[in-house]
Amino acid sequence: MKKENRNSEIAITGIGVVSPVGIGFTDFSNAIIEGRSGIKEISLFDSSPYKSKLAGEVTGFDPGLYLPKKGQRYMDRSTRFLCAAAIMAINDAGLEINDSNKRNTGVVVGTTFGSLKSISDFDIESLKSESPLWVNPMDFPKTTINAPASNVSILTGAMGYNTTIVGGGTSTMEAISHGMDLLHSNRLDVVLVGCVEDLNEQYFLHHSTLDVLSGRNGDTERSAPFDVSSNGYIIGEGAAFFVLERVNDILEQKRRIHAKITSISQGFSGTSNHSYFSIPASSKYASVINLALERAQLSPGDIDVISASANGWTELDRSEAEAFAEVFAKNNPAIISVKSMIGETVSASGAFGIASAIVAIEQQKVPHILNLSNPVVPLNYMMEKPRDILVKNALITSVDPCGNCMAITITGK
Amino acid sequence: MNILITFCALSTAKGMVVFMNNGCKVVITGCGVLTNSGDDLDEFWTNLCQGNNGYGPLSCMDTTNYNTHIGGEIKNFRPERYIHDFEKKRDYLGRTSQFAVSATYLALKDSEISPDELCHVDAGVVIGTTDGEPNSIEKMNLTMAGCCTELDEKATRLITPQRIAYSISREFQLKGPACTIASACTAGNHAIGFAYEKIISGEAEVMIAGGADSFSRKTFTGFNRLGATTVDSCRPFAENRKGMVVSEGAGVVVLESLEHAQKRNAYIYAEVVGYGVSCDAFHMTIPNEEGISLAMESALKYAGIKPADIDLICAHGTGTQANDSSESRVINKIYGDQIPVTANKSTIGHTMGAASMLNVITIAMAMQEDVIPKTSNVEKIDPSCQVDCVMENRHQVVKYGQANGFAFGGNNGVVILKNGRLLKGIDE
Repeated sequence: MKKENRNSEIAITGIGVVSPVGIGFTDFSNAIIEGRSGIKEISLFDSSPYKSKLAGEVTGFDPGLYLPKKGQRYMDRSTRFLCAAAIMAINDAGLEINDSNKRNTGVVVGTTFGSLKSISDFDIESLKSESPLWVNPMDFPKTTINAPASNVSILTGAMGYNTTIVGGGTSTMEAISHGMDLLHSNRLDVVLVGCVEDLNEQYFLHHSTLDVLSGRNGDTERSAPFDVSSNGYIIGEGAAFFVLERVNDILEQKRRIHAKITSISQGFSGTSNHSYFSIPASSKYASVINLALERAQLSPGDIDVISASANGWTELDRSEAEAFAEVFAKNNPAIISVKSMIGETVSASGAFGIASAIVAIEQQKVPHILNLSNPVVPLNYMMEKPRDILVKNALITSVDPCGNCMAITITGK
Repeated sequence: MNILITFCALSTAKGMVVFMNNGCKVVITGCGVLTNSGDDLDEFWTNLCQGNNGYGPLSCMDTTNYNTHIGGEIKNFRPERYIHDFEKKRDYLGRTSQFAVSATYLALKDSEISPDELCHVDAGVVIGTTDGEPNSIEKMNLTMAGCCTELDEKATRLITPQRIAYSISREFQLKGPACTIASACTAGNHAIGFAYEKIISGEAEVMIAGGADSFSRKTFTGFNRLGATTVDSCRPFAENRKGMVVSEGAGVVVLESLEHAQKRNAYIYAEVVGYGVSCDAFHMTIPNEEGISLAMESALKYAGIKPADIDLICAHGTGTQANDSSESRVINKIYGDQIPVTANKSTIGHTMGAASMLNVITIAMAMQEDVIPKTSNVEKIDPSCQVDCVMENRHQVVKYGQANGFAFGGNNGVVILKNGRLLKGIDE
């Protein structure tokens, strides 16, 4: 039984961004149109034990500009990113959360660990201390994966819902899908959907054991999605936050809409647990994209731009690119790859992908892809500089290398 | 499917009941448990009713210098009993994933859905957890803490929580929605809500919903440090309660649309008639009664029933001063002091992400057996906990039952079930 045509259209009314290329949606927009790279030498920890040295690290972020001083002391990096992005998004939406609406406003967060550093450091402290109970009790609440999400509610007052979704590369999409379910069910009037990953040594260590980081074999380290000579991905961090509401409610209030979500789709295709990864085949990817188009009542020719999931891991990139080639054989929409600028931000990657698509819609300009000279599959990539393009409908794709594929279509006015 | 728009779409700004559920009902057709009190539903139930504590002295870690030395480990866990070809999968499944896959195997067996059937319907999975794969993270930490020189690379690869849900999708070849929900000790209830929405929207016909956690040294340390762990027994709502017992385990249920369940003549434990999720938006560790009340009121609202209709509450009941006081105050305020309350953490301890799902399963079994299982280890109820804490097994038909789950960060989740026997009328 397929998803019915749900009654209410859902829109994105507010956006907040804390990224390796810019803080705030305006800064982020300018950065990606300019083609600024946020990939830099890691400064958050000593990278000398590792072959890879680069990451999409967030710099120039002053939490004091967005967050009240009180309570900040116990917020770790990911919580600060997420809360700051939440405040930006809420302000951008012109939303005020108060006693009249706090019970109908909910929070859905996508993340992998909340903060692996907080989780791991607490345990390490107990192991290194003379007595394990010398740990600081104030550090314990930071060690649950739902800590950043909970802090968003404490900060904003949103009581109506709060959950944390861990879906790897598809966290954003699963979070948005769940948020949309809650709006369609009329359970909530406003859903704050935010996604975050933070860079720390433990997180970097984990990725380095997967044997897919760029630079691990001593070759040039770069973030080069879709390039045939790419040798892996570069890790990024950051947070992106959206305010989702039903279109009818916004129209009544005459508020601005960034974009409407016209469909969301999902499909899992994974081999049994005899291997670590299970990368979906391009045919699976294509079927998920086609399902999104079908639900949005769009044909491939209606899509003006695709914000892709490719990250420089050639096997994944190729699967996605072949799916695009198959579905969009006739019209060849422009391709965006924000990961070429900010790296692979896993749980936040879908959110940055959506934010990039919204930039394209609002500026009628498609940012180019950095470091791309020899594509794995020929598609309509902007390789040198951004291009002015009429953008109405955008497709954003996400994949997790365990087998989950998701796609979302959005439209400008 | 009977597609009836049950209510009109009006703005919820004033909190009116305008729930769009198109007439679809969601039912539980299978349960699977993996706990320190057994992996067989009957054994689990018997231990609950007999008050056999499943926790005891911890062997998986050195508890020197800790305040407490007990925990609810699952000793002698043999994954090969549940996971086909396990030896070839061992390197790719963390302990929590192993629990989750195993409990899913048991739940599917209980539901009698064939693997073939699962491949042909839209079926997905959502698993709740608190710590994800702490067993793997804590192995990685040993190197970083200087306790060993060589990094356990296999473990370090397995630390990501999304693998818990994905390992189930891969094991059973599910194609539908798949994710792990990490809202700590209420994640199981959140998983029910997530799965419920997928079924009523038509996105999935069948959803595996579960909760799982493996024993976490980090969590054990934290709760010890907060003085929230008991040295001998967990005594929910008791006057002399001293705290919780940190445990591990998994609980999984098979949820399907009523239509699908009836088509294949499935045994129906219960219908999920409503769920409520809220956030205190108050403090990271101190519970707040407004938030807890909101979750319960929301669940009742969406279930379309009154507090007096509830026959049993399977409480969060951790055995700590803070939780049991605030939870009982809210229960008393909304449901009065006559409502039977049971707390299975008394014998299985606090299984973290699995806890609220094990509460749901306890209610499903209570509905099947017409028995409210007792809360064990309680001699005298705290007079300030004014609820009917059931201290002896009680024969009673449970028409509506409620599962509570409250977590750090003020994350709350409440699920209300209706006895499956009450659905029989629909056939006629």
